[in-house]
Amino acid sequence: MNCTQARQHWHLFHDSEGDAELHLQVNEHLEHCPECARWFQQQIVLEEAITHSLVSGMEPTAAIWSRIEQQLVPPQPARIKKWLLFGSAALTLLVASLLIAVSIENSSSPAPELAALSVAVHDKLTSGREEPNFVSSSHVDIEDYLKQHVSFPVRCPPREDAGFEARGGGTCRLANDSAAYVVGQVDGESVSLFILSRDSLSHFPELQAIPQRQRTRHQRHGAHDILLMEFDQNLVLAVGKVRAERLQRLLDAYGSYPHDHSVKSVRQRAS
Amino acid sequence: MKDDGDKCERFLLHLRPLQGALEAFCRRSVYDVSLVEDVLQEAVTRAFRDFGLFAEGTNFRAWIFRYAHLGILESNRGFLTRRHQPLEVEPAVEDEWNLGGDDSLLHTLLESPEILFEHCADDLIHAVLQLQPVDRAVLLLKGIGEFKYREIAEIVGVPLGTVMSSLSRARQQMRQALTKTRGGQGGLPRQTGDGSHTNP
Repeated sequence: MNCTQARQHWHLFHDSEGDAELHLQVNEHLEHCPECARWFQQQIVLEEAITHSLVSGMEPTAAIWSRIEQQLVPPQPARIKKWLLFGSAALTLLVASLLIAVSIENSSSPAPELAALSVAVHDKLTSGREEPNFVSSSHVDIEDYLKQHVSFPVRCPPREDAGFEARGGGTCRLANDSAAYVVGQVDGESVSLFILSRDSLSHFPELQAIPQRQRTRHQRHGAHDILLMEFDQNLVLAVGKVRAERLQRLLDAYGSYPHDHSVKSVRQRAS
Repeated sequence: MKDDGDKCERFLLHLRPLQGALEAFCRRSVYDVSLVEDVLQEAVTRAFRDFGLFAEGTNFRAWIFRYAHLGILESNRGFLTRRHQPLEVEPAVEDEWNLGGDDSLLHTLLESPEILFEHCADDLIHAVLQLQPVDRAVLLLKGIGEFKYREIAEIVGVPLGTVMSSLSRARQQMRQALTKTRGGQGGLPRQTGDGSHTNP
């Protein structure tokens, strides 16, 4: 191996790559060629200096990795002791009782739980992360679908005359209660209607505090307006980033259409 | 839930010793430094999601660095799209062992590499970002990750021969960039005939 050949292979030699035969030949050459030996040494020292410069001051940032690790950790620890489980349950009960007491005492406080749950589902449905179970612009078909899929009575959702363009409907769970929903648009903005059984009132203690004389209840959750109404055998929520008056118009229209599907009958007869 | 906890514990056991190298790799590769944490977060989250596919006893280092590499490519692609133009990249001139650049300045570097720390730290970082994406990835994976060529080929997804030529080209360009920028700015002392240093 001559000087040119040896120097051509310095990367492999430096990185301990290539086969043993190559390293043997380079080593033999370096033993007999002081110039190349010095040249190799200089290259290696310079490479190491460059690498050292690139990694110097590059300690892991504790705050960044702490945040990353927190995202990975499951919500509950895997190895939980029994006493801790019972203790947590007792504490949860205590906190829940206190919350109920405070909620009942202060009737003007918002209903964050149901509001947050409904906004979360609304966001999923309107952001495209989740499609409605039943996609249709027909209010009558949506009503039929909902009636077949929930165990409690459901009335017809608002129609075009209330400024509501339906996009679909479906069912979901809000806490432990099943709910029906209708998604659509009002003035180009996405709006969802959630329909629960009136019995669900008892599962959301904060709602029991709504004064009977107050027909609807308005609250805000982030950028969303939420209007809640008790109607017949339902608890109905309208959620969206539109003015409360527009949501009120939807709630007023809910269930105000005839039960006999006359529109559908007329449409079927016409076809 | 217990399975999730075990999975998380095992994943962190593999991950923690590599955090410094992963972060350094991202910091030296991502064009928009404000996105380093996002890139790391995304890479680690995706790796954790796929951790079920990782076979214990195989190469976790190479496995997780591949996620980081893909995250960096994605981030840099977005950055270039926003800028609507590629970063200025000088054409590579390959020569297997003649390292090019200003001979006297290169000689200075070879004789006194500690000058790098005093004069050229910023130039080095800039020069790395000027490399072609594959060349940069290969250089950093070798330097920071201390991977073998074969592992780098797997991480970057290129043939072994490409790793060798990329590494050679990247090293050459780094030296050229150092001698060119510092020589032009007068920051790097030239080697005189008697071996003493002088600024031009």
